[in-house]
This record gives sequence, structure tokens and C-alpha cells, in this order.
Amino acid sequence: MNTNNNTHTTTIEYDDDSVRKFMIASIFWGLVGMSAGVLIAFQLNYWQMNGKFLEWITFGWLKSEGVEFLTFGRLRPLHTNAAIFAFVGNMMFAGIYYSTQRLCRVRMASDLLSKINFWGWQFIIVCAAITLPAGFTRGKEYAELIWPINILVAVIWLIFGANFFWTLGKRNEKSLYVGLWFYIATIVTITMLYVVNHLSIPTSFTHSYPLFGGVQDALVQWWYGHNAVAFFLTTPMLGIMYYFVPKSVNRPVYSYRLSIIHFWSLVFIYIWAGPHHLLNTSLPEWLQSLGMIFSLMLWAPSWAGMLNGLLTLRGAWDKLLTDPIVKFFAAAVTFYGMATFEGPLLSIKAVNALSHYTDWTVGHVHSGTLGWNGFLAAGMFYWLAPRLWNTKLYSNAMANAHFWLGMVGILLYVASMWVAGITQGLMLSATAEGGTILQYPNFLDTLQAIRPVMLFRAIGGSLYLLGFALMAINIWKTARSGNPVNGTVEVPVDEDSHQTAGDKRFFAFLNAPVIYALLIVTFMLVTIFGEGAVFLFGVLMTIFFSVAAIAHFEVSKAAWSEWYGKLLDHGFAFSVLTIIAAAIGGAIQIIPTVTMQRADNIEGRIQIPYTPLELAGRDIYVSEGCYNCHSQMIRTLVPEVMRYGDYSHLGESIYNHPFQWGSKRTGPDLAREGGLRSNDWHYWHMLNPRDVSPGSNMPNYPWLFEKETKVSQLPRKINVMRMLGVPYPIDLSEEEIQAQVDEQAAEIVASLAEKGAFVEPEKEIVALIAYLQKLGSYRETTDEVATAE
Amino acid sequence: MFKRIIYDDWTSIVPQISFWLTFGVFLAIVARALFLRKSTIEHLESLPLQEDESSNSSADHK
Repeated sequence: MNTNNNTHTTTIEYDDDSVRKFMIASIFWGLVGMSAGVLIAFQLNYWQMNGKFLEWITFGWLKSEGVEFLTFGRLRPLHTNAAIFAFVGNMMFAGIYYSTQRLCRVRMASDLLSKINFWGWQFIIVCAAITLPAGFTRGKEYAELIWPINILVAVIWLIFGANFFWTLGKRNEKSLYVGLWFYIATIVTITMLYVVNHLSIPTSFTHSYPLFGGVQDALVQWWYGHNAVAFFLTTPMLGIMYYFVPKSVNRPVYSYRLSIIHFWSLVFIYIWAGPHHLLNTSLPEWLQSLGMIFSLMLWAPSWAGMLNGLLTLRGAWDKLLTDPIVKFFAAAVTFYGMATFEGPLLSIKAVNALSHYTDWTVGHVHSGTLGWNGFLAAGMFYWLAPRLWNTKLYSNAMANAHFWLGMVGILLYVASMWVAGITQGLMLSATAEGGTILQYPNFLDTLQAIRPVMLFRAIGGSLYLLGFALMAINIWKTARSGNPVNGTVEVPVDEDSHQTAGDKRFFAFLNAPVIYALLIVTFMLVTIFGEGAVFLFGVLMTIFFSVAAIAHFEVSKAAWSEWYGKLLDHGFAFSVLTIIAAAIGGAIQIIPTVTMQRADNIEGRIQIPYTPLELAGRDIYVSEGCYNCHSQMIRTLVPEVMRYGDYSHLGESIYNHPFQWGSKRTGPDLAREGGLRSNDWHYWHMLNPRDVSPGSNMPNYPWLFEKETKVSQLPRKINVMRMLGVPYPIDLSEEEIQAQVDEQAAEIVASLAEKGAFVEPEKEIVALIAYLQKLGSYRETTDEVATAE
Repeated sequence: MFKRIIYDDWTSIVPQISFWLTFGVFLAIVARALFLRKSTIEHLESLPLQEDESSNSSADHK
């Protein structure tokens, strides 16, 4: 510690080792995740890429009609999880660790927690890379990881949060910069989203059923899914943008005032928009309207952020010609603007009717991840590498080549997906003869039409991957040419005031404006929900506290104007308000759905629970990731009803844990598949889809004819289902379950044998056929006979 | 009957609560941002521009 006349100073060495490790991990997992993406993109054009290709590249040595670990249904979750949690996750940690230390002028609070954060996160990724191809999944998009890994994720995330907030508590800079606000929002909101959407009851070490089912599960899932995009792929990136973009051009952010509006508007509005993933479905109408309206409102804060980022480059546009870092940042922020323009557009119900379940959504997501996240990551890595290894960037030319390969790749990808999505959407809705029949009744006709553009998508993705590989080499060479260094800073130590500030922080949010706001909202709620005297009391108190707040403000204007300023200095208070802002939307949407949309309250159609064999078949369906290509939701749209039958009612999937409404149709909807085709059709279809559906791009599933259904697990699974409210008889013994399985399997096997299709009753294909033939079964709640079941 | 009342009321009330709540927060934040002191703004926006004072080149030997 140094001493001068007035203050003590101390030299702080930042923990840049963690930054280096996260950065290297991000690049490595980025390569893995994007390679998986390119593979599955080619699988959609060439079904042989699901394993048959191994026969060719080994010149016939390895005979295989398909490899279960390599199918699209299993690898697509690997790709999405790797891109989100491994690539962007590690990049986010690198950016947060680097910038938080500088903005707080303090080293991360605990080296041990930083190490646990890093190695724990990598362990989670390895576990995911093993379990997802092996078919262990929860069957919910971006939430596929099995429950032991979920717990691990929650623990590591909390350790990261503890380390972050501890660092904020020890900081030597009084004010919290806007970048730190976005990090706070990320940590608290992801914790809330992840925990709620992963609530499950285990049936074994590798399997569980989610707590919510049917429409409840759909709402919770997309509340999570949408906000995973918002608070994992957007808010930390915005924090990084607000730190690294000013750094790259050495000038402050365009408008700090705008950043305040950007932050609060974004955090407050984003959380409501989840239902836009469920438009025109059986989700209650008011939720769909809320999702759509709040998505449209998102245009304003998103563009505020984009303009703030782009205008930060004012006066430095000349650097676009020479500096690849500025190029990447400018393009990334532009893609942020484009993706956040397209998102609300796709959330308009009429547009969504066309775009949903098509490649348009896939293109939209990739313009965000490749353009916004990927380019921001590249800009940040190119900026960081020379500083972290105290050297110069190995090659500017390679970085420029990366930029143009990536840019062409993204544009090819996104344009292909627009064309594919709009073409398929229009073809699926097209009618003939005065709107009385479908123009393209065969789903495969619409798939064949977009195959050429799907190939361009795969080529675009490959170009992006090639550019990313160039970056990996460039960063590797840069690191080799220098030595790892840690930044240092000299900070004054003011021992007296530090303690005092810490004591005040805890209650900083309890000041007059906040208390008045809470009281007014509370009494407004009393007014809304109360009746008679309670209602009157609520009205009077709302008026009283509103008038009191105005009077108080008039008396103490100066003190009131300070409250927000104080908030900027107090991390805890800021976090509490962020939690409230982020939680309100979710609570208002989810609580009534969870309490009211239950099987007990359903009027009209209600699902008939699965038999034990059908339940086993459903678990196989989920395990194979069939939901990645097949939906189970006929929307309230005329062309869908003409194609698939009556629209799906809310009660028809109420016992589905997890729901399987899907988000993309590479194949047709299966909500009313039961009884539509014969058992032997399904048999031949699973063995080789092209035998019965010429031109299909679905993988072969030969292992379903070899592996046996795990009947021994059924008693425990049925028991958990019963706990979740599915009306299975209480006294169903293991012997009875086995007897029911044997009886139903024997019937299916016999019907297959009649058509020349032979299989043993204990094979997985039999259970899967039982499940597929059950889809769409329901009874009316007024049906007395059925109710007695 | 009870569930029908709750369900219907919720449908009509929630969008209004949501909108006015959000609009109120938005107005409050805009007002707060506009009235923030210039000196505070200048201090905050300069925070990321502070450079490391030096680099410890022995990071890998620690």
C-alpha cells in the first residue's frame, strides 16, 4: 500500500486469467456448436447425414442405416445449447469479468469462486454434450438438460452471482455504470426464469417430468424461452456493448440519458412478451394479446439501444475502413437493430400466422445469434486478445477476412430462411376451388419447394463457421506471440466511508418515492379485487396516498430528486427494483394460468390419459427429439383446420408433461395423428420414411426395432404422473401395469403381423406406435360414462 | 360461476393494469433521465474510458 499526504492508495491487480480462460472456452465451444449447426443444416437436405454417411466415408466398413446419436432430433438441442450456453455463455462471462473489474476498480471478490464458475460451467457443457446425443432430455427447447445438470447449472450460476455481487460490494467506484445494470438484470432474471421453468419431479437419475403440463407448461416454457433470448443473449450483450463500444473508439456513449430509458424500458417490457411464441394456439386470448402488444412496445427500447450504440461511433466512422474491431461492433449493433425490428413484426398475429412453424423464425433467431451475439463476441475478442497477452493482433487481414466471410454467411443464411419460410408458409395456407380445398394437401410438396434454399442456408452457415475458425487461429497466434498479463490500477483507500456506505446500501431502496409507489399499487389492487367496503377503502387509500405523494414531493423537491442518484450507488437496491420489474410480467401472466387452467376447470374437451405403453412411447418420442420437427398444436386458422382437422382445444393436452406443441414444422403436425394411418404404415415409416413418404428428409430409426421399452420404470413414472394430477388409478400395481403393456403390445404386434411387418412386442417401436395412435384422443367433460373411467 | 367471474375479469383488467403500469414506469424513467445532473452524466459516461494503469507481465508465473 502506498501512502501520500492525504490518502492511502493500493495497487489492485485484476483477475484477467479468468477472462482469458472464458474467452478460449467460448471460441472452442463456438466451433463445436457451430459445427453441429452446419451438420444438422445439411441433415435437413440429405437424410443420409443422420448416420448413413458413415458407411460411405468408411467405404462400407461401418454398416449403418442411421446412428441414433447423430439424428437431427438429438443434435439440434446440442447445437442450440452449445450456441447459447457454451459459446455465448462463456463469452458473456469473459466480458462481464473483464468490464466489471474495471468499472468497479476492484479485483473479482474471490479467485476461488471465479475458478469454480469457470470449471463448473465447462463441466456442465461436457455433461450436456454427452447426455443430449444419448437421448437424455426434458423435451423443452433450450431447457433440455436433465435435472441433475439443471441443479448444477443453478449452483454454478448462483456462485457466479455471489462473486459478482460480492465484487460490487467491494468496489472502489461509487457509481454503477449502465453496463453493470444490464449484468445485474441478467443475473437476477435468469435465476428466476431458470428455476421456474426447470421445476420437475424426477422418476430416475436421468429422467423427470416437469411440474407444469399442457397450456401451463407452454406458457412457462415460452416465458423462459423468450426471456432466455432477452436476458441471456441480449442484456449481457448490451452491457458488453455499453462498455466495449466506447472503449473501441475511445469516446463516451452517445447518450447516457438514453441508456437509462433503454435499460428500464427493456427490463420492464421484455418479460411480458413470451406468449408471442404461442399466437393462434389454444393459449387464452388475453395472454396472446398481451404478448403481441408488449412485443410491439419492445421496438422502442430496442431501437433506443441500437441507436445509442451506433451513434457512439459518431466521429469515428473512418475507423470502419481500417479497424476490424469497429467493423464487427458496427455490424453487431446493426444486426441487433434488424433482429429487434423483425421480432415484433413476427409477433403481430397476422404475420405470425404465416411465419410461425416455418424457417422464417429460424432465420430471425440466427440473425440475432450470428449477427448480434457472434459479431459482438468477435469484436470483443479481437479487442481483448492483444491486451490480455500484451501484444499486437496477429493479423488484421485475417480479421477482415473473418468479417466478410461471416457477413456473407449471415446474409445468405437469413435471406434463405426468409424465402424458405415465406414460401412454405404461403404454400401451406394456399387453397384452390374458391377456398374449399388445399392447393398443396401433401405436406412434402411444400418441403420439396424449399430444399434448394435450405441448401443455401447450410452453405451460409459453413461460411460463417469458416470465418469463425479464422478468428480461432488469429487469436491463437496472437496469444502465442505475447505473454499473459493482468491489468492493474491504483485506487485510494477510504476506510471510514466504505463501511458507512455498506451499512446504508441494504435499505437504500426504502425511500419515500418507492414507499409511496408500493402503497399506491397495493391499494389499486385492493380496489380492483375488492368488493363493497373493501373496494371503497381501496379507492380512498389510493387517492389519499396519491395526494400525499404529490404534497410530499412539493415540500421536499430536492431530496426526492436525489433518490435515483442514490440508487445508482447502491447495487442491492438496484437489484431489488430490477427483480420487481422483471417479475411483474411473469407473475401476472403465469399465476392465473397455473391456478385456473387446470384439468378440474376445463370445460369441453379433455385429454384421455395415456395407457402405460403409450406413456412409454411418449417418453421415446420426447427422447428422440421428435418435437424439433413435428408440432402437436393445430392453430385456430382455417388452412390448418383444413389440413389437420379441428383446431386443438386447451384441454386436449392438459395432461402432457412436458407439452409438445413444438415451434417448427419440418414435418406435419401430429396433434390428431391417432387413427389417421395404420400401425404398419408407422412401422415402415420409422424403418425408412422414404418407403411410404417419397422425398421425406426424416432420419431412419432402425434402433427402435432393436432396443426394448423400459417397462420396469413405468410404475415410478405413473406414480409421478399421479402426483402431477394425471388421473391414473391409485391402486395400479406393477403386475397390472405389466399386464396392460403386454395386452396392448400384443394387439399392435398382431395387427402388424397381418400386414407382413414382424417385430417383438417388447421393442420400442411398438410403444411408439401405441403413442402415435393415441394422439388426439379426448372426451367431453359432460360425458358421464367417460368421466367414470 | 366463481372461476368464470375471475377468468373474465382477469381478461379485461390485466391488459389495462399492464399498460398503465408500464406507461407509468416509462414516464417516471424518462423524467428522471432528463433531470439527471450534467456533472453526474459526465462522470458516469467516462467510467469505461479509464485505462489500466499498467500491466503485470508475470501473470502466468503467479
